[in-house]
Amino acid sequence: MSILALAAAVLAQSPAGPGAQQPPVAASPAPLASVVVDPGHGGDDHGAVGATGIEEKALVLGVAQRLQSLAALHGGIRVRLTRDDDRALTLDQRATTANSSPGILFVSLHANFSPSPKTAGVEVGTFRGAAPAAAEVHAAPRRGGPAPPPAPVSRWAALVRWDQAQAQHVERASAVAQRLVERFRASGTVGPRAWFQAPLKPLSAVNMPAVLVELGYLSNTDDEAALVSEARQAALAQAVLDVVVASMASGALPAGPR
Amino acid sequence: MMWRALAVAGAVVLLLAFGAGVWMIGHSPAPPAVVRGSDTDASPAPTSHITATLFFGDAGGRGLVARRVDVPLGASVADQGEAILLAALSTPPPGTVAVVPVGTRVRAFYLDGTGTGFVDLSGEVRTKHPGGSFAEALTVAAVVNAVTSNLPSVARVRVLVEGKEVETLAGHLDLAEPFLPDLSLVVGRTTP
Repeated sequence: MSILALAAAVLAQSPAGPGAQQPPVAASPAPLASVVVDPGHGGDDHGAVGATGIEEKALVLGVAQRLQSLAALHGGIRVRLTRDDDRALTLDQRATTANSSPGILFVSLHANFSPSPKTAGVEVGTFRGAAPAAAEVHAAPRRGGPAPPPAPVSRWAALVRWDQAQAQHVERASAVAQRLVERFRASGTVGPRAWFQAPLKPLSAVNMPAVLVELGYLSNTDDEAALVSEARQAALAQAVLDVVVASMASGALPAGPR
Repeated sequence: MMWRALAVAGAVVLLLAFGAGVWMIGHSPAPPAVVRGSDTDASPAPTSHITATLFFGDAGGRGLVARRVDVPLGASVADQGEAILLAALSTPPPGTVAVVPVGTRVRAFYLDGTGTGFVDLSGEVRTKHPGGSFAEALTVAAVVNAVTSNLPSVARVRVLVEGKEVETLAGHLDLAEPFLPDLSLVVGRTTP
């Protein structure tokens, strides 16, 4: 038998040959976009405490776990928690966990407090460092003309200090923060600062767009009463997830792993 | 002719010096007195107080409000800063609320010669802090603004606790670097 005839015989018997049925092959799942959710405080650090005794550390952990569950049901997004129990973590440990694998967004969950019991509402914070972030500088429009193009950056200029990693993500983080404020404004009270920028230590070393969400004021009786309810916690978690999904759809955040 | 020009120049210098002195001390009739080491903000004064602008919590919960308060005259800029901080941490005026935890003490106030003032507070500012990024921002802004609003030679303020650098007061604001004055949290008008 010639080599050609042998090859033809093998092909004829092979299920992969012409006309043969292909065996079912499991489709590899699409890679999930990873969102890191950081329940603030924990362990000996109780965070703010409401008049009824509700502790910030427990409240934000509950909302974080709800957000994780909702994301699992939604699909397409994987939520990683910096802590899933009542443990103390330093802020650097949280950033290290976040930066250990790629993510599209970091959400630090907190509950607020004011010296006045009248202050109420949800607020969203983004990082502001010692100097304007490069993105902010580039976005500043020239008088009477369009925004200038980004200046070329040399490789060495791209070195970023660990504790200032967030500075290069401020533009994306701000876009998400604005969406969050709009979403919270539509569904409830927004606090006096709505969206605030500050040198927020929980965000500064995070190497992906990062927002800090203050879920409400534990110093305000109405906010506290709402925050202990499962309905409010679920609504807050859903609001954050909705904004993540909308931001991915609009391109404000990557739709897959970074 | 030359004598006349010199006289005019001298008058201008005196007027500028007088204007700067009035600006430094607000409504006080004389600038704060002076001078220890390299402190150069002040000159001798016959009065025993200055009128300082201090910052307390707005009872409506919107932010800080400014109040003008008489503060004992300090013998140097550092002493004046300490007196200002003592007043800023004392019982808040009527209609305002405290934004620095009750029981917090001023351990020291000093300058580094480059425009940075160091405010060293006792540990109560952390251990008794109620938490929340809003309350934390009010605490820091009230301290920083109290110093920078009344001591022109202090451009920025670093907050220390028990003589040491700390990461944050309550888990939010990064205290690793000095703060510039920030009046964005101040609502309403300055009142006596």
